[in-house]
Amino acid sequence: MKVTRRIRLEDLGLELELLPQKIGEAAALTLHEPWMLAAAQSFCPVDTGALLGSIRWELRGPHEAALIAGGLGYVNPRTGRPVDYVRHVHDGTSRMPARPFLLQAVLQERLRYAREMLRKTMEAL
Amino acid sequence: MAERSEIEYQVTVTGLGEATASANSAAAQAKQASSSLENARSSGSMAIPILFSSVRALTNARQAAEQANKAIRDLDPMMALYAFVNMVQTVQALTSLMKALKASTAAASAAQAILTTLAGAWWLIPLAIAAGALVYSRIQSMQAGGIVKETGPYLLHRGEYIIPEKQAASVERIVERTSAPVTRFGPIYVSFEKQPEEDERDAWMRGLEERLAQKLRRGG
Repeated sequence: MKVTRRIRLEDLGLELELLPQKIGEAAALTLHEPWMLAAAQSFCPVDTGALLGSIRWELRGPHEAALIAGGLGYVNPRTGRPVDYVRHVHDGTSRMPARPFLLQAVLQERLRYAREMLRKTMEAL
Repeated sequence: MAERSEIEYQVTVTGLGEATASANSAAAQAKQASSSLENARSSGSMAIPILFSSVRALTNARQAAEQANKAIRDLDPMMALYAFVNMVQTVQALTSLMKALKASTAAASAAQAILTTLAGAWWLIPLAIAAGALVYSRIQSMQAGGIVKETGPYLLHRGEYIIPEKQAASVERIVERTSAPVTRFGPIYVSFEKQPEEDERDAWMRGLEERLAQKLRRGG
Protein backbone atom coordinates (compact mmCIF):
# COMPACT_ATOMS: atom_id res chain seq x y z
CA MET A 1 0.00 0.00 0.00
CA LYS A 2 1.36 3.38 -1.00
CA VAL A 3 0.02 6.64 0.32
CA THR A 4 1.32 9.92 -1.09
CA ARG A 5 0.68 13.30 0.42
CA ARG A 6 2.19 16.66 -0.51
CA ILE A 7 3.26 18.77 2.45
CA ARG A 8 5.10 22.09 2.35
CA LEU A 9 8.47 22.04 4.05
CA GLU A 10 7.35 24.75 6.42
CA ASP A 11 4.45 22.57 7.59
CA LEU A 12 6.31 19.29 7.70
CA GLY A 13 7.64 19.71 11.24
CA LEU A 14 4.18 20.33 12.66
CA GLU A 15 2.70 17.47 10.65
CA LEU A 16 5.35 15.08 11.91
CA GLU A 17 4.78 16.24 15.48
CA LEU A 18 1.10 15.42 15.12
CA LEU A 19 1.85 12.04 13.58
CA PRO A 20 2.26 9.95 16.80
CA GLN A 21 -1.03 11.25 18.19
CA LYS A 22 -2.83 10.59 14.92
CA ILE A 23 -1.41 7.07 14.65
CA GLY A 24 -2.58 6.30 18.19
CA GLU A 25 -6.07 7.59 17.51
CA ALA A 26 -6.26 5.69 14.23
CA ALA A 27 -5.14 2.47 15.92
CA ALA A 28 -7.80 2.81 18.62
CA LEU A 29 -10.53 3.48 16.07
CA THR A 30 -9.45 0.59 13.88
CA LEU A 31 -9.60 -1.91 16.74
CA HIS A 32 -13.32 -1.22 16.95
CA GLU A 33 -13.72 -2.94 13.59
CA PRO A 34 -14.93 -6.59 14.22
CA TRP A 35 -13.13 -8.05 11.21
CA MET A 36 -11.35 -10.78 13.20
CA LEU A 37 -14.63 -11.76 14.84
CA ALA A 38 -16.32 -12.15 11.47
CA ALA A 39 -13.40 -14.15 10.08
CA ALA A 40 -13.28 -16.45 13.14
CA GLN A 41 -17.02 -17.10 12.86
CA SER A 42 -16.60 -17.98 9.19
CA PHE A 43 -13.79 -20.46 9.96
CA CYS A 44 -15.46 -22.03 13.01
CA PRO A 45 -16.88 -25.57 12.54
CA VAL A 46 -20.63 -25.63 13.31
CA ASP A 47 -22.70 -28.42 14.80
CA THR A 48 -25.14 -26.95 17.29
CA GLY A 49 -23.91 -23.37 16.89
CA ALA A 50 -22.92 -23.14 20.58
CA LEU A 51 -19.20 -22.71 19.84
CA LEU A 52 -19.93 -20.22 17.04
CA GLY A 53 -22.14 -18.26 19.40
CA SER A 54 -19.34 -18.09 22.00
CA ILE A 55 -16.87 -16.26 19.73
CA ARG A 56 -16.52 -12.64 20.78
CA TRP A 57 -14.34 -9.58 20.27
CA GLU A 58 -13.53 -7.64 23.44
CA LEU A 59 -11.74 -4.27 23.65
CA ARG A 60 -9.32 -4.26 26.58
CA GLY A 61 -7.78 -0.85 26.11
CA PRO A 62 -7.19 1.84 23.47
CA HIS A 63 -4.68 -0.34 21.62
CA GLU A 64 -5.58 -3.78 22.86
CA ALA A 65 -8.37 -6.24 22.07
CA ALA A 66 -9.03 -9.95 22.44
CA LEU A 67 -10.58 -12.60 20.22
CA ILE A 68 -12.18 -15.22 22.48
CA ALA A 69 -14.13 -18.43 21.99
CA GLY A 70 -15.78 -20.81 24.49
CA GLY A 71 -16.34 -20.36 28.20
CA LEU A 72 -18.56 -21.54 30.97
CA GLY A 73 -21.13 -18.87 30.29
CA TYR A 74 -22.09 -20.49 27.00
CA VAL A 75 -24.17 -23.69 26.99
CA ASN A 76 -24.48 -26.33 24.27
CA PRO A 77 -28.23 -26.70 23.65
CA ARG A 78 -27.92 -30.38 22.74
CA THR A 79 -25.93 -31.56 25.76
CA GLY A 80 -26.80 -28.83 28.21
CA ARG A 81 -23.13 -28.58 29.12
CA PRO A 82 -21.05 -25.41 28.96
CA VAL A 83 -18.93 -24.84 25.86
CA ASP A 84 -15.72 -26.04 27.46
CA TYR A 85 -14.43 -28.05 24.52
CA VAL A 86 -13.14 -25.16 22.40
CA ARG A 87 -9.50 -26.12 23.04
CA HIS A 88 -10.08 -29.64 21.71
CA VAL A 89 -11.74 -28.28 18.58
CA HIS A 90 -9.22 -25.47 18.03
CA ASP A 91 -5.98 -27.33 18.80
CA GLY A 92 -7.13 -30.92 18.00
CA THR A 93 -6.77 -34.16 19.93
CA SER A 94 -5.32 -37.61 19.25
CA ARG A 95 -8.65 -38.53 17.64
CA MET A 96 -9.63 -35.16 16.11
CA PRO A 97 -7.71 -32.82 13.76
CA ALA A 98 -7.06 -29.18 14.79
CA ARG A 99 -9.37 -26.54 13.39
CA PRO A 100 -7.64 -23.30 14.54
CA PHE A 101 -10.38 -20.88 13.52
CA LEU A 102 -9.20 -18.12 15.88
CA LEU A 103 -5.59 -18.28 14.76
CA GLN A 104 -6.64 -18.31 11.11
CA ALA A 105 -8.77 -15.23 11.68
CA VAL A 106 -5.93 -13.35 13.39
CA LEU A 107 -3.43 -14.23 10.66
CA GLN A 108 -5.83 -13.34 7.87
CA GLU A 109 -7.03 -9.99 9.21
CA ARG A 110 -3.98 -8.48 10.90
CA LEU A 111 -2.72 -6.80 7.68
CA ARG A 112 -6.16 -5.38 7.08
CA TYR A 113 -6.00 -3.69 10.49
CA ALA A 114 -2.54 -2.30 9.72
CA ARG A 115 -3.71 -0.86 6.39
CA GLU A 116 -6.76 0.66 7.97
CA MET A 117 -4.66 2.29 10.71
CA LEU A 118 -2.47 3.90 8.06
CA ARG A 119 -5.48 5.06 6.05
CA LYS A 120 -7.17 6.55 9.09
CA THR A 121 -3.91 8.26 10.09
CA MET A 122 -3.58 9.90 6.68
CA GLU A 123 -7.22 10.96 6.80
CA ALA A 124 -6.71 12.58 10.17
CA LEU A 125 -3.61 14.56 9.18
CA MET B 1 -11.55 -23.71 35.08
CA ALA B 2 -12.48 -20.66 33.04
CA GLU B 3 -8.96 -20.51 31.67
CA ARG B 4 -9.26 -24.09 30.40
CA SER B 5 -12.75 -23.69 29.02
CA GLU B 6 -11.96 -20.86 26.57
CA ILE B 7 -9.25 -19.71 24.18
CA GLU B 8 -8.21 -16.09 23.93
CA TYR B 9 -6.03 -14.39 21.33
CA GLN B 10 -4.83 -10.99 22.40
CA VAL B 11 -4.50 -8.41 19.64
CA THR B 12 -2.21 -5.50 20.55
CA VAL B 13 -1.00 -2.60 18.43
CA THR B 14 2.74 -2.42 19.04
CA GLY B 15 5.50 -0.12 17.81
CA LEU B 16 3.68 3.10 18.69
CA GLY B 17 6.57 4.17 20.92
CA GLU B 18 9.09 3.70 18.12
CA ALA B 19 6.80 5.53 15.68
CA THR B 20 6.53 8.43 18.12
CA ALA B 21 10.31 8.67 18.52
CA SER B 22 10.88 8.53 14.74
CA ALA B 23 8.21 11.13 14.08
CA ASN B 24 9.60 13.47 16.73
CA SER B 25 13.11 13.15 15.32
CA ALA B 26 11.85 13.75 11.78
CA ALA B 27 9.84 16.73 13.01
CA ALA B 28 12.94 18.30 14.56
CA GLN B 29 14.92 17.82 11.33
CA ALA B 30 12.09 19.23 9.24
CA LYS B 31 11.88 22.29 11.46
CA GLN B 32 15.63 22.80 11.16
CA ALA B 33 15.44 22.53 7.37
CA SER B 34 12.53 24.93 7.27
CA SER B 35 14.38 27.38 9.51
CA SER B 36 17.46 27.23 7.25
CA LEU B 37 15.32 27.90 4.21
CA GLU B 38 13.63 30.80 5.96
CA ASN B 39 17.01 32.27 6.92
CA ALA B 40 18.18 31.99 3.32
CA ARG B 41 15.06 33.77 2.15
CA SER B 42 15.24 36.54 4.70
CA SER B 43 18.98 37.12 4.16
CA GLY B 44 18.31 38.48 0.70
CA SER B 45 16.58 37.63 -2.51
CA MET B 46 19.93 36.83 -4.16
CA ALA B 47 20.89 34.16 -1.65
CA ILE B 48 18.94 31.31 -3.23
CA PRO B 49 19.88 32.09 -6.85
CA ILE B 50 23.53 32.28 -5.76
CA LEU B 51 23.17 28.97 -3.96
CA PHE B 52 21.68 27.30 -7.03
CA SER B 53 24.29 28.95 -9.25
CA SER B 54 27.05 27.55 -7.04
CA VAL B 55 25.54 24.11 -7.24
CA ARG B 56 25.43 24.37 -11.03
CA ALA B 57 29.01 25.61 -11.17
CA LEU B 58 30.19 22.77 -8.97
CA THR B 59 28.36 20.27 -11.14
CA ASN B 60 30.05 21.72 -14.23
CA ALA B 61 33.35 21.60 -12.41
CA ARG B 62 32.91 17.96 -11.59
CA GLN B 63 32.08 17.20 -15.22
CA ALA B 64 35.13 19.12 -16.42
CA ALA B 65 37.36 17.25 -13.97
CA GLU B 66 35.99 13.93 -15.13
CA GLN B 67 36.52 15.01 -18.74
CA ALA B 68 40.15 15.82 -17.99
CA ASN B 69 40.59 12.51 -16.24
CA LYS B 70 39.24 10.67 -19.27
CA ALA B 71 41.44 12.71 -21.62
CA ILE B 72 44.53 11.78 -19.66
CA ARG B 73 43.47 8.17 -19.44
CA ASP B 74 42.85 8.00 -23.20
CA LEU B 75 45.89 10.20 -23.99
CA ASP B 76 43.76 12.39 -26.20
CA PRO B 77 45.37 15.87 -26.35
CA MET B 78 42.46 17.53 -28.11
CA MET B 79 40.01 16.25 -25.58
CA ALA B 80 42.39 17.38 -22.84
CA LEU B 81 42.35 20.82 -24.46
CA TYR B 82 38.59 20.98 -24.36
CA ALA B 83 38.62 19.81 -20.77
CA PHE B 84 41.21 22.45 -19.98
CA VAL B 85 39.11 25.18 -21.60
CA ASN B 86 36.01 23.95 -19.80
CA MET B 87 37.86 24.02 -16.53
CA VAL B 88 39.09 27.57 -17.05
CA GLN B 89 35.58 28.68 -17.98
CA THR B 90 34.14 26.98 -14.94
CA VAL B 91 36.75 28.54 -12.73
CA GLN B 92 35.78 31.94 -14.10
CA ALA B 93 32.18 31.20 -13.31
CA LEU B 94 33.04 30.19 -9.78
CA THR B 95 34.95 33.27 -8.77
CA SER B 96 36.31 36.44 -10.35
CA LEU B 97 39.56 35.81 -8.51
CA MET B 98 40.36 33.15 -11.08
CA LYS B 99 40.64 35.75 -13.86
CA ALA B 100 44.13 36.55 -12.69
CA LEU B 101 45.10 32.90 -12.73
CA LYS B 102 44.25 32.54 -16.42
CA ALA B 103 47.23 34.73 -17.32
CA SER B 104 49.73 31.89 -17.41
CA THR B 105 49.65 28.20 -18.12
CA ALA B 106 51.11 27.45 -14.71
CA ALA B 107 48.39 29.52 -13.12
CA ALA B 108 45.77 27.77 -15.22
CA SER B 109 47.08 24.45 -13.98
CA ALA B 110 46.81 25.77 -10.45
CA ALA B 111 43.29 26.86 -11.26
CA GLN B 112 42.52 23.38 -12.39
CA ALA B 113 43.92 22.03 -9.15
CA ILE B 114 41.74 24.37 -7.13
CA LEU B 115 38.79 23.52 -9.29
CA THR B 116 39.32 19.82 -8.80
CA THR B 117 39.48 20.33 -5.08
CA LEU B 118 36.21 22.21 -5.24
CA ALA B 119 34.70 19.38 -7.22
CA GLY B 120 35.58 17.07 -4.36
CA ALA B 121 37.84 14.91 -6.48
CA TRP B 122 41.12 15.77 -4.79
CA TRP B 123 42.76 12.71 -6.30
CA LEU B 124 42.39 14.32 -9.74
CA ILE B 125 44.72 17.23 -8.88
CA PRO B 126 47.92 15.71 -10.36
CA LEU B 127 45.99 14.57 -13.39
CA ALA B 128 44.56 18.04 -13.88
CA ILE B 129 48.02 19.61 -13.69
CA ALA B 130 49.30 17.01 -16.15
CA ALA B 131 46.42 17.87 -18.45
CA GLY B 132 47.46 21.52 -18.38
CA ALA B 133 51.09 20.59 -19.19
CA LEU B 134 50.03 18.25 -21.96
CA VAL B 135 47.89 20.92 -23.56
CA TYR B 136 50.64 23.50 -23.23
CA SER B 137 53.06 21.23 -25.07
CA ARG B 138 50.60 21.10 -27.95
CA ILE B 139 50.25 24.88 -28.24
CA GLN B 140 52.48 26.28 -31.03
CA SER B 141 53.92 29.75 -31.27
CA MET B 142 53.82 32.13 -34.23
CA GLN B 143 56.46 34.45 -32.84
CA ALA B 144 58.64 34.07 -35.96
CA GLY B 145 55.70 34.97 -38.20
CA GLY B 146 54.72 33.27 -41.43
CA ILE B 147 51.80 31.28 -42.71
CA VAL B 148 49.85 29.05 -40.35
CA LYS B 149 50.34 25.58 -41.82
CA GLU B 150 48.19 23.60 -39.37
CA THR B 151 44.88 24.30 -37.70
CA GLY B 152 45.21 24.22 -33.92
CA PRO B 153 45.82 26.25 -30.81
CA TYR B 154 48.60 28.85 -30.97
CA LEU B 155 50.27 30.93 -28.31
CA LEU B 156 50.09 34.54 -29.44
CA HIS B 157 52.04 37.45 -28.08
CA ARG B 158 51.13 41.07 -27.54
CA GLY B 159 51.63 43.18 -30.65
CA GLU B 160 51.34 40.31 -33.11
CA TYR B 161 48.90 40.94 -35.95
CA ILE B 162 46.44 38.35 -37.22
CA ILE B 163 45.14 38.57 -40.81
CA PRO B 164 41.98 36.70 -41.84
CA GLU B 165 42.44 33.98 -44.42
CA LYS B 166 40.50 35.93 -47.11
CA GLN B 167 42.94 38.83 -46.97
CA ALA B 168 45.98 36.65 -46.54
CA ALA B 169 46.42 36.00 -50.32
CA SER B 170 46.81 39.69 -51.23
CA VAL B 171 49.15 40.23 -48.28
CA GLU B 172 51.17 37.26 -49.44
CA ARG B 173 51.58 38.82 -52.94
CA ILE B 174 52.83 42.05 -51.46
CA VAL B 175 55.26 40.17 -49.26
CA GLU B 176 56.53 38.18 -52.25
CA ARG B 177 57.07 41.36 -54.32
CA THR B 178 58.88 43.25 -51.63
CA SER B 179 60.99 40.36 -50.51
CA ALA B 180 61.85 39.08 -54.05
CA PRO B 181 65.60 38.77 -54.91
CA VAL B 182 67.10 41.90 -56.57
CA THR B 183 67.52 41.64 -60.33
CA ARG B 184 70.76 43.21 -61.35
CA PHE B 185 70.93 45.30 -64.54
CA GLY B 186 73.96 46.58 -66.18
CA PRO B 187 76.31 47.80 -67.02
CA ILE B 188 74.53 51.07 -67.89
CA TYR B 189 76.20 53.21 -70.52
CA VAL B 190 75.50 56.95 -70.52
CA SER B 191 76.31 59.03 -73.52
CA PHE B 192 76.23 62.85 -73.80
CA GLU B 193 75.51 64.77 -77.02
CA LYS B 194 77.96 67.41 -76.09
CA GLN B 195 80.79 67.35 -73.75
CA PRO B 196 79.51 68.58 -70.35
CA GLU B 197 81.47 70.56 -67.91
CA GLU B 198 83.16 68.38 -65.29
CA ASP B 199 81.13 69.77 -62.30
CA GLU B 200 77.89 69.54 -64.27
CA ARG B 201 78.62 65.92 -65.21
CA ASP B 202 79.29 64.87 -61.59
CA ALA B 203 76.03 66.48 -60.32
CA TRP B 204 74.03 64.82 -63.09
CA MET B 205 75.54 61.39 -62.26
CA ARG B 206 74.77 61.84 -58.56
CA GLY B 207 71.09 62.51 -59.37
CA LEU B 208 70.88 59.62 -61.78
CA GLU B 209 70.77 56.98 -59.03
CA GLU B 210 67.75 58.58 -57.38
CA ARG B 211 65.92 59.04 -60.67
CA LEU B 212 66.45 55.38 -61.62
CA ALA B 213 65.09 54.17 -58.27
CA GLN B 214 61.97 56.31 -58.72
CA LYS B 215 61.44 54.95 -62.23
CA LEU B 216 61.75 51.36 -61.00
CA ARG B 217 59.28 51.89 -58.13
CA ARG B 218 56.73 53.25 -60.61
CA GLY B 219 57.21 50.23 -62.83
CA GLY B 220 59.22 52.05 -65.50
